[in-house]
Amino acid sequence: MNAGVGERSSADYLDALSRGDRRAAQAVVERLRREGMSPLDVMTQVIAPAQYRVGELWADDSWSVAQEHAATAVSESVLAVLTADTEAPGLSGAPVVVSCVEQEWHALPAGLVAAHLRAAGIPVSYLGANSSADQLVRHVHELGPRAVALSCSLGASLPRVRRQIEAVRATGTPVIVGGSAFDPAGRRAATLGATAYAATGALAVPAVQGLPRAVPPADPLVHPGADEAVIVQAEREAIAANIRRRVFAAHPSDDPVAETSGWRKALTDHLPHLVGAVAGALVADDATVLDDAVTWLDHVLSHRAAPSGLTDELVQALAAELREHPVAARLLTRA
Amino acid sequence: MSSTARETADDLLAPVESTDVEARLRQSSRRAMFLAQAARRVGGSMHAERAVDLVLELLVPEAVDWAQLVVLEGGVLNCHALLRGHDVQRASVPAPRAGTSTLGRVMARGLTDLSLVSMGSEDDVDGALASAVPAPELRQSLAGIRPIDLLVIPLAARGRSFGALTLARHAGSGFDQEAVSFLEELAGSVAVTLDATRTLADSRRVAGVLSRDLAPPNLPTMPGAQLAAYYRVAFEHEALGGDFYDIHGGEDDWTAVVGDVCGKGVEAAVLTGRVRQAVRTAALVDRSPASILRLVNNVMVAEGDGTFVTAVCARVRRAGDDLRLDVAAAGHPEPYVLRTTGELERVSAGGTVLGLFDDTEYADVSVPLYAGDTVLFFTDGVLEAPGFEERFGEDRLHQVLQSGPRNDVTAVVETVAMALSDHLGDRAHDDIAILGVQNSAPTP
Ligand code: B12
Repeated sequence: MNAGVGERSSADYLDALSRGDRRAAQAVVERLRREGMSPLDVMTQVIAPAQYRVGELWADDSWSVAQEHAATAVSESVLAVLTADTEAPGLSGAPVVVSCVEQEWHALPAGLVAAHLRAAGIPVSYLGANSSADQLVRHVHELGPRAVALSCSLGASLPRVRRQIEAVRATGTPVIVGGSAFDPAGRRAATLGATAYAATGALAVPAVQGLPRAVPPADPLVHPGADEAVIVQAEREAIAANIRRRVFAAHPSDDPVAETSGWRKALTDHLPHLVGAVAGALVADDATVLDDAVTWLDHVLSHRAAPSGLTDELVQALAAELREHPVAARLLTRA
Repeated sequence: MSSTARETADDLLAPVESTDVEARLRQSSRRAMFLAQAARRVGGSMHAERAVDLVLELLVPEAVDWAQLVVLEGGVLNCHALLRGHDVQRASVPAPRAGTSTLGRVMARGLTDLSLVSMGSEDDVDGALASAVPAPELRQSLAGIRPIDLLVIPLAARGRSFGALTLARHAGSGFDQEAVSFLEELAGSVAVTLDATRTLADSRRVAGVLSRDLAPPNLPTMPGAQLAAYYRVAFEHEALGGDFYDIHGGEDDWTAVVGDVCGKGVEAAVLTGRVRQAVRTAALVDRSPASILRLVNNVMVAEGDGTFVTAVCARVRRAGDDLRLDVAAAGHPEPYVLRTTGELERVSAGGTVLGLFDDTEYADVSVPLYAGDTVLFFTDGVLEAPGFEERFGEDRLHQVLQSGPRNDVTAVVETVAMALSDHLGDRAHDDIAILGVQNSAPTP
């Protein structure tokens, strides 16, 4: 998998994750540490690649959500131990507040960023998953941080990123963003009004060091689609429920448990995020947010015995639901 | 950078010929913009030290080469200084006496002082500077600016000076009367903002100290068990609520409690503090949960303020590879036991709400927790959570627990929390608390 790590260690680590076995995962990491690997290298060369693999295994329906979730909990506990090892002693001064946006539960990416900052001597106040704008602003008032670092993995969370950038910048505090919801060039981040963007935990360090001390409030979004994003975001549950009804009616099943497993379950879980991705594409002015969500959902559904052509059906149903919103409708004809 | 900085400083502070109308206009509009920007930057922060830094960074290098901001706090003068191209430096010195130094005089009289510290022996200069810059280490940062024009402006709010702003420029750049008036106006608005920020920080500190015991506690390390909790309040800006959990004990005998006080926000949180304390005290007398609830109920009824509380209390003891749970409940949702096999059992402990009736009796129900099993306590904020079409409800909770992870209590609690947040969307919700205890003895 990686020149620096033995294939064996990577395989052992993934094996421990597959069983949700903390002790075994910790043992692999301790072995690598004894062999001289630095904590940051363990994070980027063992934990992160294993997490990406976990995502693929779930998408292919090889692993259950429960396994994916338990695996991530193990990686998080391993990360916590490693972070304690990397932290430069006696950090003081204004911290960076590191947090996930509201309703974003992918905390491990934020944890990796926090570890990189701490290792570079930057004090961190780590809030973890799912912080609301209220919570963030309260922390900003209490700590007077030099910056807020927001992590966002879901394209559907981009409207919330925008809301939190507005809330934090209103306090004059710079905001740096990152995570898999952003494009590597940082275009979406810039559109949303972030002060800075970085693609990895390592790059977050110089990006934080280069931040201005104070920033003016975020400019209002004026691009076409910004207003529609607010409407779609507000109505996403109703839209998802309509589409779900329509699709399920077109593919009836006699099996009473059909809706709690297989493609129907996956669809029920993902529809709100698919509609959210439309809002995300609109607010970030980037159609590829939606394209990515559609491609991924297509992969997921096809591995769960969905009827062929279901993804096209979904896109058409979405287009029908959003026909009164011209920018959104254009996105969907593209997808 | 340095040449543009110099230009803007010239723009802001340089004397302009009274006949050059266009230049005067340009300067006064730049000054107005600078004032507006200052108010916004410093006002947004609401954090005392950051606000001071922002004032200094606003002035250096845009207006002056060096700036010091001193604030009088409890008989001590806290000094912050910034030299162009450096970081903010800090020092504390005893408060100056009114008559004996420039700084003391400016603050006592509330009047600005402008002086030229000319060349002389370095000792003389240092002595002269000490009068306005009392901390020696901060004076050092002035060493490169000779001769110096030094302007000391009082910072006053609510009718008294609480500090001063000291500004330095290379002599010759100088401060003319109009520049002084402009900087006094700036100091005036900055002073009001700093004062408000400090007042706010003070009350926030008081609130922080008082609420420290009301916020959910850090989970202890419990040998042979893993713990996880989730806590979300209805009023997020207050960060306190009426749901609570607590877990205490030692060695092989622990008490866990999860409860819900009527009401929300700070008032409810104060009551949770009392209940948690009462549980801790009662547990010292008799560790049986039924007995603990009976005592707490009697205390609450005796206080008789009409408030009531629902709670579930459990004693957790090690018995070989098993954990033994004794559970008693008072009008509270029943806890669940999630077995490693995937079975989900409800612990049927029932009893009357706390605080309403004298001499209520409660009963302990015993349940074994085998290796890997998890018990989940929660408040009704979970079941009642409003969704797009319906409340979260028991069926959904079962479904989430049965299809979710089982072998890691953090993941179990997080799965429920995630499903809840998905279900809630952006809707307002009640306080929510979840506590999970897993028997982490190695599974056979
Ligand atoms: C584990 C996982 C989960 C777990 C999370 C549990 C937990 N406690 O974290 C569970 C099972 C719960 C989950 C749920 C979901 N997930 Co998920 N999940 C993942 C997975 C497999 C791994 C995440 C991870 O740990 N990554 C590891 C780190 C290393 O990620 P990273 O992003 O590369 O982080 C680096 C940089 O991005 C950067 N960075 C990150 N944050 C920041 C912040 C700042 C400020 C900076 C400067 C840099 C920076 O630095 C990091 C280190 O170098 C990813 C797949 C993947 N490829 O990431 C999907 C993934 C993130 N999930 C995805 C989806 C869609 C979902 C669900 C919607 C699926 C569903 N309906 O069930 C839900 C939504 C849950 C929610 N509301 O948050 C998608 C998101 C796609 C998108 N962009 O919209 C992904 C990408 C899978 C995919 N499509 O391939 N998921």
